[in-house]
Amino acid sequence: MLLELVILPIIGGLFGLFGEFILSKYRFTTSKNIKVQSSISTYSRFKVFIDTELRDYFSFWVAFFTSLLVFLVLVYWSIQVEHLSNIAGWQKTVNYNWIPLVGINFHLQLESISLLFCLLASTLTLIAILYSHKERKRSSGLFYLCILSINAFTMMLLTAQDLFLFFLLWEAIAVPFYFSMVLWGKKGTALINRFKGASKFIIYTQISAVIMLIAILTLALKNKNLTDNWTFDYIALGNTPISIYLEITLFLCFLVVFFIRLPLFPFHSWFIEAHRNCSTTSSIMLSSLFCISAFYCFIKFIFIFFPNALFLMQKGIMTFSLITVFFSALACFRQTNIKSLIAYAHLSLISLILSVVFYHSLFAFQGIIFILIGTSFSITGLFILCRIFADVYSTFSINKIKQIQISTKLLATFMLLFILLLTGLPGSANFTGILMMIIGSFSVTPYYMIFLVISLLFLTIALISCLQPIFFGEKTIYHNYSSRNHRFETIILVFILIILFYIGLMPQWIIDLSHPWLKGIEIIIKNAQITLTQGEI
Amino acid sequence: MFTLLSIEPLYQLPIYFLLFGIALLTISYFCHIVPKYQRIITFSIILITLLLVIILLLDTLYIDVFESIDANSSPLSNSNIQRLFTIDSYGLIYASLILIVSLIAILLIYRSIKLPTRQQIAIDIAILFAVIGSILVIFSSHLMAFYLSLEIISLPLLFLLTFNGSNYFSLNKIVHTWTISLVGSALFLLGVGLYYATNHELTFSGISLNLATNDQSPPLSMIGLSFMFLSILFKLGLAPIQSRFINQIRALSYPIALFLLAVINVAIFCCLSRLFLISTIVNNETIKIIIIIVASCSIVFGNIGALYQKDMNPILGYLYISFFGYLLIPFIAMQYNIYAIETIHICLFGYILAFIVIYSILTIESTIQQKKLRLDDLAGLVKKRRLNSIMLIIALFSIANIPLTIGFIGYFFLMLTAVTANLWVFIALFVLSTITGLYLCLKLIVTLFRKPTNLDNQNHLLAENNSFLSHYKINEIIAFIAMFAIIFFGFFPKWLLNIASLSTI
Repeated sequence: MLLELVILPIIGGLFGLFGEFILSKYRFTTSKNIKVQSSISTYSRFKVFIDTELRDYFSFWVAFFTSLLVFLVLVYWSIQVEHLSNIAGWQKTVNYNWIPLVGINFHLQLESISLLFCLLASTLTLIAILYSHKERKRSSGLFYLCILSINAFTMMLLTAQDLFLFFLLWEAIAVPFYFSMVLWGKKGTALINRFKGASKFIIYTQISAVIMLIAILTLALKNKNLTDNWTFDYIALGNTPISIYLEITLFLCFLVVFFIRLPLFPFHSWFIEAHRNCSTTSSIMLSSLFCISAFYCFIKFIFIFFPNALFLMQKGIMTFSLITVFFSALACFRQTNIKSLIAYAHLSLISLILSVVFYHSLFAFQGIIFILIGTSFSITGLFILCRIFADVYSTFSINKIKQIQISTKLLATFMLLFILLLTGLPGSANFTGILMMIIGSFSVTPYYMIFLVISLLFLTIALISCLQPIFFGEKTIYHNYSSRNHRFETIILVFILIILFYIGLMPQWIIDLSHPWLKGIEIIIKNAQITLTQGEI
Repeated sequence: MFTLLSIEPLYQLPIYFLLFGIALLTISYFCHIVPKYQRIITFSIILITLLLVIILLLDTLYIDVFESIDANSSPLSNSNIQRLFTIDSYGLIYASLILIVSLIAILLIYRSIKLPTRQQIAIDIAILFAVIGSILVIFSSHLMAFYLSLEIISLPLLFLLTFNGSNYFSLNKIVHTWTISLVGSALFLLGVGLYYATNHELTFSGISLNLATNDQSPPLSMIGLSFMFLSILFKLGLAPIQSRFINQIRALSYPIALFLLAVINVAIFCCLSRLFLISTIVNNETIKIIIIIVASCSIVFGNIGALYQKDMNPILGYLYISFFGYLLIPFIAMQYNIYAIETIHICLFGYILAFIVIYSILTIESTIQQKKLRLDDLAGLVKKRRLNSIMLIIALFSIANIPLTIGFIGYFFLMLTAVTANLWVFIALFVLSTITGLYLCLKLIVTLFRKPTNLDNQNHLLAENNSFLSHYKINEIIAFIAMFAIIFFGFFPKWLLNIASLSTI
């Protein structure tokens, strides 16, 4: 069941691609028939429908229904899990022998926590696909294949239990992103300019993948020297005894890998440049799916594989991420492009999340998951709003967008609402998360927490003061906004708002789903603390 | 013919078939019995000959390897290693592979190069001779047999290299190429002589045992070995002396370049790897240093050189050089317990498949545009021929080690080898060159999507109709099958590895 679910989006994408190809080969009506639509039979009306509506939107509808199906199955499963008494015991597994020579298996395992993240990923894909209806794409079959395969690869990445498979998907996920960036990038930019940004993106990804491959192979080699068998199994490699020096080296390797991918401070430039060159749909996918999967895998790997090294280097990383939060909040002040402003805000929130990860407080950890979900959704909403501005004012520059509170009252309200949602509006998911984070970690490291809260305040100030001019100011440019044109986006934004407030007001099911996993991590950290204090390493 | 006599009669059959085909072609070269159908007749002769030989080789492989229940009863397992030629499953697999590729090259030549019939037959004869030479090179397990087979290749190769579509014989070029090939051969003979003077041993097994066990070989024999390696490098065109090879390849027409890169050089490499895989030669420090220098230079120069080229042929030539640099890594790591033969097998297979796809599509393009392709000439291919460009993109992905292609599996196995053997310098080079290679491939792919810049190219675009399968069906079918194999083996590398594990030396 899991395998079918995971490859369903790819099959749907291929179906859309070939279906569109075949439809474009055959015309059922001549152009004359389309003009004279009155007084024709149902059959020929159907033919006209095929020629006009179905041909243009065929791949869209296929993609939409595929992602809807995936979403519904995941919702059904999560409702099922919610009613179980033993949530930790629920899992679905796929395990095939793939390359027996070096002990590689096609091993996927869906647990309650990965179910939660898969659900998040498929919801965001559904929103992105819905939104993409607005941007008519040429050769859209290939575009939807890209989007759907990103979804499929993300779900596989979240459930992968074999490190080779994990590495393969880690690299594979960048390819559809690359194409969606180069071929269907921002309107009005030359392909060569987009190529530069996209090349930067894929080269960064490749570097991170190669470093990870070396780390994985070193670990597997150590295991092979002990047991005389090649294996890439997640649990078997996690239990490999390694010396503390090797552990620290590998930990740093993995840290670089995830810092590139998340992205964090020294390696963030690809992220900003990619967002500038992306269309809105790819921006949504990039900011949400890419970062979600990277973050989940970060916790999944770092905590299981290198608990001792993590504990030793905890202070350094915490300081580093605090600096990153400040840096990205400061960088927000200097932005003139509204998309890169949002990207920097996202960066700042990710580093905020990362700094809290190392507290080792269960309550704070739960808060992080809420912040992650809330951030993904509110960033999605902000990108959609950006696109509306760009439609109305035909620019992304903050200096040229003026007076939205008069011209577009609804839009201004939404904008303010989403900025506040990003930084924690009471009742929303982010607020719940930040509250839990502060409560959970204040008892552990109060001074650090104070700094973090200040930095969060900093981010809010930056966002408000940067975006304030667009609400007021003189009306200089003629704009053609009418709420009719943007009815579709408004529906999506309301949908996102409902999700955010639902999560914020009813957080219990997410806590239930994530609890078993977090409990396991807490035990591992406690053991690491004990070994460290006993001086065994 | 004394070299052939050491092979058992059954295994001589393929060679006789090929010779018989050449004889038929020669007859048809001199007689104009039915001038109208001569082209078709010669084509069917060459096709049937090659197909028969492929079937024979695969049949031998099937009977001797798959069906022999008791390994000792198989005629292959107790074949005497002292002989000039060793016929084993390793050789049979690669010989069949090479024959299939040469068949593809001939099909491409027939499709693309329109020549007078007699010149066409001359090229066919040259190719058949080169195929015989390559098969013998793969099976040879004795230095003299190796030398003689190389000489069988070199004369037809001279003919093929000097041939380029319009300008049939350029005397200057013939003298140039011939001199260099003679120097290479002379170096090889000198090396063999020096080695024999000290060790009195010419079989591969003897050489490799001697090198693996004796750390302190006499300097004269080491000089001899170095000469031999130098001459093989000359033939393969690897890094420190690559510029001659690139210049040679620049003027070639595409099917012949495919024949050179994916048949003859692969055959020579197979023979080299037979020498290295028998026992761990790299225990000897001198050999190890030579191989390390050649491999690292090839990887670096190959990838960086390709970035600055504008023509398609040199780009692919440089990619070939970097690829064979990677393939030398398993030899260096032989001391450790690694999957050397599997790694080489997967990498070579991926390389050959990718080059088949690329060259068959380039052949179509160059025939339509009637010139050697520069990078810019490929612009706008996606609009013109969508299926072709998708196949080209997948082949380039395989070269750039993107997941879900066979190139990625090969890359993984190479990394496994390098990490197992602690070759950290190599890994660093590997990372850098992989990224360079990726950038190059992405540049090529984006070129396909770009709008064509020059005017006549745009006019050309308007003139062509965008049909599903164009006039060049056979090229497209070949490319499609190869592309399908790239993806299929990327998903299921298990079967390819099973074939590799069959091949024993």
